[in-house]
Amino acid sequence: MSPWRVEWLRLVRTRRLIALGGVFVFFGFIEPLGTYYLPDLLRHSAGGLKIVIPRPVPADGISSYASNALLIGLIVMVFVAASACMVDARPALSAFYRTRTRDFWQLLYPRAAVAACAGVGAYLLGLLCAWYETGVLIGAPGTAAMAESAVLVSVYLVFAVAVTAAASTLARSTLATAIWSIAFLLVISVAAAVPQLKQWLPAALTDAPDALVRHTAALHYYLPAVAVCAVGMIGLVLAARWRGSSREVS
Amino acid sequence: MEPSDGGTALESEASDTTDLAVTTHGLVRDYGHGAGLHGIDLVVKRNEVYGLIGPNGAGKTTLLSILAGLRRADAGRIELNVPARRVAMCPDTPEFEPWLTAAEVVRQSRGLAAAGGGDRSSGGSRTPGGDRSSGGGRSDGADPVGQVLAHVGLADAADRRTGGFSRGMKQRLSLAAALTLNPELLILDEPSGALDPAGRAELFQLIAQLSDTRTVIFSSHILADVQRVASSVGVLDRGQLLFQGPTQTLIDSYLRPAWNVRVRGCADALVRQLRDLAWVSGVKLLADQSVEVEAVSADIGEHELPRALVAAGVGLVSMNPVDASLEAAFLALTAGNAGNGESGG
Repeated sequence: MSPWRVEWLRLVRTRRLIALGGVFVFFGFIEPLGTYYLPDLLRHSAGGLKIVIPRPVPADGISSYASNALLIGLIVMVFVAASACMVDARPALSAFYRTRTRDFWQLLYPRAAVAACAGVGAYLLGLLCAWYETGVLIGAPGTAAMAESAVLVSVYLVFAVAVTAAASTLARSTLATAIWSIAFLLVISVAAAVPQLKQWLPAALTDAPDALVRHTAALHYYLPAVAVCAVGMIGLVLAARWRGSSREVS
Repeated sequence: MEPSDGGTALESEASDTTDLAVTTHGLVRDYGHGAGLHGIDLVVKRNEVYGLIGPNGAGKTTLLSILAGLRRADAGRIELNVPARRVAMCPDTPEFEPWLTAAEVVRQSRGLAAAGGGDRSSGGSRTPGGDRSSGGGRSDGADPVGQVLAHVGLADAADRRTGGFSRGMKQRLSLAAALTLNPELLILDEPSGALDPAGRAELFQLIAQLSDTRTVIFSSHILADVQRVASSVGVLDRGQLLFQGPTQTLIDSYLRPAWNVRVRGCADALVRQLRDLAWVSGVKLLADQSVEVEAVSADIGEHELPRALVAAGVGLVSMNPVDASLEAAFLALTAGNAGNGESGG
């Protein structure tokens, strides 16, 4: 049985695929709906107060989905990736794997790749739901902008998995791996508040769905962040490979 | 008591390195406070069953982990005369992905080895019974995964998920997952720790069969098991190899010859008379009124004990040598090493 099939079974039999897909699909359906009915909800809850809210535009529905998907969904994806990449969480299981492979990369690569594919796939599935519902309720967002934002967010999600893979070779448990990964992603999100850094940090990519669909930014604005993501992923993967290979089973 | 030359003879006899599967030279792994390994010179011949015995914390798991490449030594050298990819290890408490079935674990083991560039599963697998079949699939119509599971007694559980397995079943599965790789060197850490008596008997029968075609190193603290199956034994205590050599040499070297004598007449008087004899190193009256006599050597005892019985004027009912067990030899060997402080590892 190939390592790829084992990773697929890990996702399916542990129901992590359902959890991952479920979160993104849930937000894909609920966020455009919430955006569409938000003025009505506020009117009903405002009592005698008059609230004036502009009519929602397609970008609101997509932006609302992306912001929640890249918060709650990202956390779920990091936990799924951490549980897969954490080769050494159980020493006896680690011994089983490590005595059958010559290079730690052979263990980490399928785990990280399948987790990244699952995360990206779940995000895109949720995005399709959000796109459909936004189109039905509010109006169709631009196809090119949607495609561009999908690619950019996918790059960010793959970067997040690379961060998790690297963290898994430093931490001793799945929980610790997930916490370190989320903390790191949070730090670069906070750092992105610095205007001089924003365009260069991977966290900039999380703004892409809103900005591209509203046409407040063009694709080339995000290219520096994509380049940093690419370099960062290579560095993280190499670090994970080195660190994982030099680690002992205790 | 000093180790006999039987222990060190193994190294000189095995001077031809092609006969050796594993040798270590001054292997050190220091965990601090005396724990770890301190200069281990292990010599394991090809196609032998080598039993590693020692109390808890002696360093057995550390030594086996270093041999398997799971831990590093701080100093020393390992000469592994088998390809690293032909080494398989079964830990004392094996674990598997709980959502995989037993058959899938064996297939996973083969898949990992194949993906890792090992030629063991693609080059053919020899089941413990000796029949060779294609590793990648079926050559003689038989499923190699089913065969190896049947060999360890897990045929009925092949399609059950391992999450519900007992520790004993996991140990069997661990062995199946290792055997399917056709290893030249099989390292087993406490392989019978969770098995019932019948399971232990089956396991050691299997290990005895394996020694025809491969080298087996296993650790155990059930010394009767080691005595049953190991041709050579290493006694590890506080990170030091106190003895290494043929199992029988250890028993012969570290046990004084003793006989159980049953007499008609006054056993108390016989005990008093025997105590005065210079060649008697120990004598005690047992609860069943038989007398256990220990001599300084087997040769002297065999000649002098009958004379002493005649001189005592007692009627001899029976006289039997006391069974020499590895456990008794181990206790005799490690007794001198006791009290030197606690150790771990």
